[in-house]
Amino acid sequence: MLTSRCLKGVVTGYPLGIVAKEIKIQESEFNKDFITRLIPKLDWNVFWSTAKQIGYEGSLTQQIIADYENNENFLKDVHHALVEVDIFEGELICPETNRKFPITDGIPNMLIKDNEL
Amino acid sequence: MLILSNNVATTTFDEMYDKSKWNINLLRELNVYEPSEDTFLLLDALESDLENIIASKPRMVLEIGCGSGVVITAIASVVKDCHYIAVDINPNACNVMKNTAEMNKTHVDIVNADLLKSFRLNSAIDMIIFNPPYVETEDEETLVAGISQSWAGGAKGRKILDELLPVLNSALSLTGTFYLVAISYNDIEDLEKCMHDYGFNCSVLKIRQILGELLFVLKFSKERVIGR
Ligand SMILES: C[S@@+](CC[C@H](N)C(=O)[O-])C[C@H]1O[C@@H](n2cnc3c(N)ncnc32)[C@H](O)[C@@H]1O
Repeated sequence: MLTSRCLKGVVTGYPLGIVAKEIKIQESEFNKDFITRLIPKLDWNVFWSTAKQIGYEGSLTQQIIADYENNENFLKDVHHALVEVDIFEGELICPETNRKFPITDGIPNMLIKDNEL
Repeated sequence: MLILSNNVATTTFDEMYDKSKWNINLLRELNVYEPSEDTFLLLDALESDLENIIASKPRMVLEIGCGSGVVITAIASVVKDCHYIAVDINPNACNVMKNTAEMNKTHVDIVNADLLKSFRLNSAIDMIIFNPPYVETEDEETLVAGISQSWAGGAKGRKILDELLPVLNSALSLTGTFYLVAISYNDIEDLEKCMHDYGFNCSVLKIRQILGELLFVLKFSKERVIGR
């Protein structure tokens, strides 16, 4: 499961901090073309800092390298952090309020109670 | 390879009717919406549009209100090389979704959330699917957590859907599409008009008569800017 993936890319209160209590690695086939096409959809900075916070940044750099299309090792590290690393238990932390959103069984609970609106 | 023969695809969609593809005991135990007429109409509609879906090479597909998860799992098992996200407000539905994805060996990211309220709206999503709670009820009923949120749609059955419509354009990519289940008393004409105002064209993929009402699957596409 890949819950952290979409969060890196798309979830707000932006960017969310992340604490991983249990990480599962799920091997999945590397598809160069797919990863190359997915990178433009990521907010690179957030993706990188999330990967770094959980210790899976590998060879990834804060600034995306210019010719990543041709750098297979780089793409493989993106694949690993993006597709294979799954935060099974942990929490997401709102940068403004420090509100914690628990991740249980790989599923983040982003629901906000009425009194928090 | 991304392009699968139609043969393979058809089999997979049909298989979703089959109870061995999801765990009915878990679903009933956790009191999650069981695949029903509307679910199957949506599956049929997506299957009929599959060639277009494959040709558009989606990179990110999201289902809101995934319930049991059979719909997004069917697509995920056919259209590869795409990132799938499922959202449901009901935590039990998220758990059943997870089980369905695993049973069918597909990867789906699951988020327990309310519509797209915790997502960045950055035109990243290529396809959004929603079989909403569309039954006409008292507005208060939509607020009761649990299984009733599967159907309770408030006035005209539009309350939950109408909260989503304004953000769709900024959530979807330029070629993005939105697949929606709706019922006659949701006022299809008005729905088309609202979506037109938000920048979408509408086409009807399926219509089926169910218990004296007409059930629709609509497909909305962003209006092309002239010259593109
Ligand atoms: C009619 S059921 C459809 C389930 C499944 N997609 C299917 O076709 O069988 C509607 C689903 O939407 C979910 N839902 C209702 N309100 C929601 C909201 N505000 N945000 C996310 N999901 C919601 C319900 O929990 C339920 O699972």
